[in-house]
Amino acid sequence: MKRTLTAICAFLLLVCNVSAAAPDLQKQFEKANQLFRQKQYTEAAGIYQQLIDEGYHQPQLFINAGNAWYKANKTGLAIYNYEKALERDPFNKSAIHNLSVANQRVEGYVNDLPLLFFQQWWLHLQHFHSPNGWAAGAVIFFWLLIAGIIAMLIVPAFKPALLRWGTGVATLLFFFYLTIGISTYVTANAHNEGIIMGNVVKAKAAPDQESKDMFELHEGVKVQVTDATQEYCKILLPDGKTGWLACAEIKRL
Amino acid sequence: MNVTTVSIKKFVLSLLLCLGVISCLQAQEFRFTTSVSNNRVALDEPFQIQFMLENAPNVTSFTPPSFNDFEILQGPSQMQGQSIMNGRRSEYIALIYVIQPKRVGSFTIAGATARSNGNVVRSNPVTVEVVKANRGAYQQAPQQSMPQSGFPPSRSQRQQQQQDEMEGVLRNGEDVNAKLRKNIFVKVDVDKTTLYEGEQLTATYKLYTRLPTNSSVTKVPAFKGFSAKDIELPNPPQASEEVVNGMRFKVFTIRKTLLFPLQSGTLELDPVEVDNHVKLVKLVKNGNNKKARDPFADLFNDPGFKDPFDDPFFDDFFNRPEVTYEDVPYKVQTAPLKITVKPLPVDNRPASFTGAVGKFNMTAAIDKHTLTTDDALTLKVVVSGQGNVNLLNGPKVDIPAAFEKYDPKVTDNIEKNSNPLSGSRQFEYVLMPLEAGDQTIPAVEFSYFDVASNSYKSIRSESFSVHVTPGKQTKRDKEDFSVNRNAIISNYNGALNWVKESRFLLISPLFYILLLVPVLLLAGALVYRRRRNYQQNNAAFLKHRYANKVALKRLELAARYLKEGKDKAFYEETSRAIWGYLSNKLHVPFADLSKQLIQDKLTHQQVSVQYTTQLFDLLDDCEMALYTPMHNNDKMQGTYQQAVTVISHLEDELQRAKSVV
Repeated sequence: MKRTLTAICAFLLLVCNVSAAAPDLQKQFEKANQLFRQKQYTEAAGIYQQLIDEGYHQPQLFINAGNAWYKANKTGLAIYNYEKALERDPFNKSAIHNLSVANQRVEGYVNDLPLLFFQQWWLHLQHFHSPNGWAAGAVIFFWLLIAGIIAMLIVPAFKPALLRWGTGVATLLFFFYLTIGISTYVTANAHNEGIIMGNVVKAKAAPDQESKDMFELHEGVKVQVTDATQEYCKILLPDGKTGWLACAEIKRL
Repeated sequence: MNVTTVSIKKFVLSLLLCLGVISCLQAQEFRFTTSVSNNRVALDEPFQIQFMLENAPNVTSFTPPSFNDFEILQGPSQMQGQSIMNGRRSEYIALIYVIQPKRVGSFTIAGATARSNGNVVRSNPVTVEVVKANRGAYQQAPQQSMPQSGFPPSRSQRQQQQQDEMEGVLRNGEDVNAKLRKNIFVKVDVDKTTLYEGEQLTATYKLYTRLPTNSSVTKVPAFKGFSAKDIELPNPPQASEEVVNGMRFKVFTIRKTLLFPLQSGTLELDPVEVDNHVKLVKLVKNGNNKKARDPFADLFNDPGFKDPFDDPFFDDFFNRPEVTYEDVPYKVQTAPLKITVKPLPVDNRPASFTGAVGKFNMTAAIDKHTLTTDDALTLKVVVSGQGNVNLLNGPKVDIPAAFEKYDPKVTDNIEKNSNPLSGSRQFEYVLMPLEAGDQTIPAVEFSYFDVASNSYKSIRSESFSVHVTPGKQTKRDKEDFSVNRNAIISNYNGALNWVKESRFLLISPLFYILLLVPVLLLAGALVYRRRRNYQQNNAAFLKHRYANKVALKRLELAARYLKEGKDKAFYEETSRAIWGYLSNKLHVPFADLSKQLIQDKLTHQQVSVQYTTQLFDLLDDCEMALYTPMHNNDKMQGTYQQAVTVISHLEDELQRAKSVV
């Protein structure tokens, strides 16, 4: 038991490695907000983007960056940032709203189908903990499981029924946490969606410059990337159309 | 007086024939009257004097009175006619002079004399007052002296008409424009010139005329800065009479409008323009008309004329002054009128004031108190009263957020042609409940400015409580196009928790180390358990240890003697311990013990010969030491060790033998 507690403490220390540079970053963030208020949107967006590139992935930061890009008429980047924010926090109301507003500017925007109830549940479940939270949970339950087994092996004086049940629950939770942890990891690293960045992009029938144009896509359209060669990516639209695009035109989420 | 009743007989034809004959025989009451167009005249102002002979048979002479103080401008002109009224025929002969006073003062013109049927008749005298010429103001005395009393109604009307027509006569030397200016004008009447914003103002545009005219309104006022509401006028327009500066005018109302100023300041009522086509009769003098003469004298005294009835007509025809008609266009417009509009007082203005001015009453009601979320609730607010009903804005209704509010439906019920404007305006708010529960719609407040008391007044309804139950339909997600829907939600400006995005724990080595640690612990625990199990399961070892313990207990005293160095006591005790142990173990009484018996018993117990030999060697050693005392501490120590070993072995062997058995 004592060992488990130590492990938890070690995790907490690991997860919350609070940066000493936080006040400085906050200052920069506020400067960007100030620029936003002064309607210097591109400059503000630049600072937000810099913070994001440094590895700070707070949904609010993404939303602010999206707002700045939106105001600077870079719809594609705005949508990209809103999607990023939603990836972190799929139920963020401002992000959902602002994304819908930004999508109004997108030419040829096809409404995404709303998620089915079980997909909603799954999404809720996935975001019940952070991805690392799931992994940490898996570790903790694994430790509890082992502790239970050891206790059963060595000290037969414990009430065996209670111990057995506790261990069983710990086992189940361990596998549950591990599964969701792996699934979140897979989801986060799939990168199979992207936003069109080019103003007008022509989707081709084959991954070849010479091939026939199928349809046009405008900046800000969200596509699914189903296949890719060195230069070309095969995309799938929500309405079922497929085509090949130069990968440089797509910013992968 | 011959009154002939005409009876309608069988044939219409004969009736008509008869009528012609009979009518000739009719006669009416005889009259001889004098009348003037104006009793009060200005110097140099021409006026008319008329002598009328009615139903005078056989007029043979006519003598006009002497116009000493007047100059005859025209005349005599003769009018002759007959009329049949109610089957009665009447005829008249009128002689008209146009005269002009020479002096100021009051003059009585004596009546004229005429001879009819041989009798001399005299008309009534007329008094005319001549005042100083007043060029500007045309004064007309009321024509009271007109001898109308005895006339039949038809005649009276006729006379009046004639009088009116006279105004349409352009007399000699009269300026057309001056005459028109005098006799036709339009005027705007307002009930007040200073008022509050939103207060009612009644403006009436009237056309005053004394001339026969064909008028049309060419320019209607636009009423800039006002909200106008016209009152319907009767069509065709009805004339009324009004006396202006002593002159009787026919008045036509062109437009009557209720005006509500929409802004404060000085506003101007636009002029109205009326195009008139005035029919003027122009009299042109005949050449031989200059001298005053008695037309009848010439006429009736001439014996050469056979038919006294026909000739006056002839004569009249030729002597009549020449008349031309003229259509004179004349444009009139009202003077612009300035209206001062005061702004409504700002002090004590209630928050619910929306611009109503007048006197109002308000009622508010909802159509149901219980409903489901599928239903709609209607809040009906009726504002009724006098004032700017047509401009009323709906009272502010604070609808709780639990309801969706739509723009009110406005229904007007304004009383037609009411002055001041009155009526009611109904506002119907449709409310859609969004959530179930008990809701309260706050009281509706309506405020207006009461001009009479110069203050604001407020009316409050009571508040309504509504019980909303959930309906069948779930809330529909409607497209919202309200203002804020299409604007992005503003930035997050608070402090952020500046934590770098950490790498995925799932793929870090730490994760696997942390998973491995308990596995290792488990392995350790398993090893530990196995060892302990081995120890617990090894019975021989345990029993051997037990046997050893028994031997040590038995040899406890011996060990003490060994330490003290008492060899005799030590050997004695050691041998006693062994014997005692054997007697105890083999269940043989101490006295019966012998080496032979012990050997048998041990063999029986299948104790190996090696141990038995060791036992007997030990017993032999002990006996030998007892009887050949020699102090040797090392040997004693050896003996003691041997004794312990022997007893331990024996114990083990006996235990095993027992377990086997």
